[in-house]
Amino acid sequence: MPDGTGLSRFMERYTSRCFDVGIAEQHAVTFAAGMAAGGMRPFCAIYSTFLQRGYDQVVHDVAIQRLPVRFAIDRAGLVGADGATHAGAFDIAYLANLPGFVVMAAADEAELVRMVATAAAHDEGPIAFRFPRGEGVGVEIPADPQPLEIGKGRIVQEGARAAILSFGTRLAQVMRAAEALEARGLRPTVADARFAKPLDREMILDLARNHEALITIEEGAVGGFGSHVAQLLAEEGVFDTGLRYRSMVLPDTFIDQASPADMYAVAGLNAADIEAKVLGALGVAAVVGKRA
Amino acid sequence: MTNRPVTPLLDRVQGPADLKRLSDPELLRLADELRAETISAVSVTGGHLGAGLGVVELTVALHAVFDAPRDRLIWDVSHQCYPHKILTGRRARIRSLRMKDGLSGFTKRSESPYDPFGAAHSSTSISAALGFAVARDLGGAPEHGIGDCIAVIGDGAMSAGMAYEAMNNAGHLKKRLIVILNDNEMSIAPPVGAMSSYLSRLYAGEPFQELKAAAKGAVSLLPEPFREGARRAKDALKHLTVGGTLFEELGFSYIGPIDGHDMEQLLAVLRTVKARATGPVLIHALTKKGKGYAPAERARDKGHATGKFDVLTG
Repeated sequence: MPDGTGLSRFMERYTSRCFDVGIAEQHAVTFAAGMAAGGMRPFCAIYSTFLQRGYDQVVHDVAIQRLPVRFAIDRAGLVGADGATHAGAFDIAYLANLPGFVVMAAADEAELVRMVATAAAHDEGPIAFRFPRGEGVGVEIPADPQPLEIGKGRIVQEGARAAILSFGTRLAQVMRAAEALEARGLRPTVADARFAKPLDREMILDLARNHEALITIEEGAVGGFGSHVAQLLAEEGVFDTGLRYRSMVLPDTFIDQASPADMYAVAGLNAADIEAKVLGALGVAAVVGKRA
Repeated sequence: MTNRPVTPLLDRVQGPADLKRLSDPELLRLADELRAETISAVSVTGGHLGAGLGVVELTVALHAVFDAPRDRLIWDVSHQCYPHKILTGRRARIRSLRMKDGLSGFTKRSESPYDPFGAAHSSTSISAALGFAVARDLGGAPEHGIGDCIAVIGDGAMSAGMAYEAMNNAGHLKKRLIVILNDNEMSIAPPVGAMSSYLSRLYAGEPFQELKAAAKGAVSLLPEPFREGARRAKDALKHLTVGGTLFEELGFSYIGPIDGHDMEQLLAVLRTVKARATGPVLIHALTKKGKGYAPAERARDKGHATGKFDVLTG
């Protein structure tokens, strides 16, 4: 699918290095694994839901053999008109649980370009980066994108009391929620995790230590990024001393087709939902409710 | 079992390079010794016996003709790899198969350079071999280079869609690629379905005769002495719907069916393919799961995986 995956122009320019295998996800994954075993640096471009069809190949032929196949996962998150069947809800969970896998999600197109560079430079094992259907948010794309340090997130803004840790493109909604919260006199810290695996342990534990509440958000089903963060916090004993932790994920339902924004409203992952979640975690939601 | 089989030829084999010094009759004897050693080893360790016994001659022939590890030999599922492990420097540890800190019961990249691709579930070998072939043609693995890419896949594994995804792509890319269909009419249990029936029709009646099903399409790949017979067979088959048409339509040169236990035939076909193949080739070899060990032949599904056993009584 050169058009769907956006590879048409690459294919025209690098005819001998771009392979359209047809509708054959299992073969695509193992074919890429064979290339990686043969010394190449293959990128395997598949939509999130379709990668599900090649999962045994991801586990056996790529992960167990620690082969450096780069997965470019398009249509990650809710896709809109194609509804539940094409929603990329599960890839974070089903990749981040595999030993040795690096799993990234891009917050915007500039981050996406850096993640492509990161994947290209990563020869130690499998690596994936996910990005949603649709258009970017309009940020400038670096001309000479530098690879990211594996497992390092970034602080987007410093604040107090609550920290919102975003994985992927919900960051734009998080920033809107942060503005609304700041208007109420509560400026939250906002961080972009970049990696669901390996987690930026230092940054996450710092956020936990220095805030009353920590809220994660991702465009994926339960069992993904937020679950890994919860596991880290639990293992480090953070909950023993009373952190207020919330994890915003897709609900445990299949969501029917609508516009992506409407679907995210159903999912409860838009700016207003994030704002309410932060206030709820800090115990001020009831007050807000009464005022409203 | 403490009694080890007598294996004077096998004792001289440290790696596949040593097979190059053996004559064809010696390779045949080596196969017998390799079979005895495989049975002896599995009697100690348990494991997949029948599958390995079915490819003893094929294993010897492949390592005699091709140059692993430069040539990439990829065993589908790979539970049939015990004879391969014995020939590729792992004989001393073969009685540790599947034990803690021992050899894996499957191919494993980290275990040996002779295992270019690990497996354990079925039907992945053609995809992986095609990946190596593409890497070869793009200049991959510069340290040793990549030679021929060979997938050995069973008829059971051929019922999974992924094998067809790979052949569909291979036929399109037209890279030199060798697929050996190891057809023992047996996967873990007797195979079912239309593909199995199709393969059976390919050798219905007179298996192996004059390499007759080598007739269609693959004539030019064969050495001269085979050609006349093949042409006659081709004429005879003209009105039948057999002859590997399916594989040929997918872009493969089809050769077979051949007797996968006939060393002479195996060597002749593999040498010819090595010398002449330009695109994807499928060699259809008929084998018998558990070949050469009566208890395993009798119960071919039971021979799939076994516990420890007494070699004499089974």
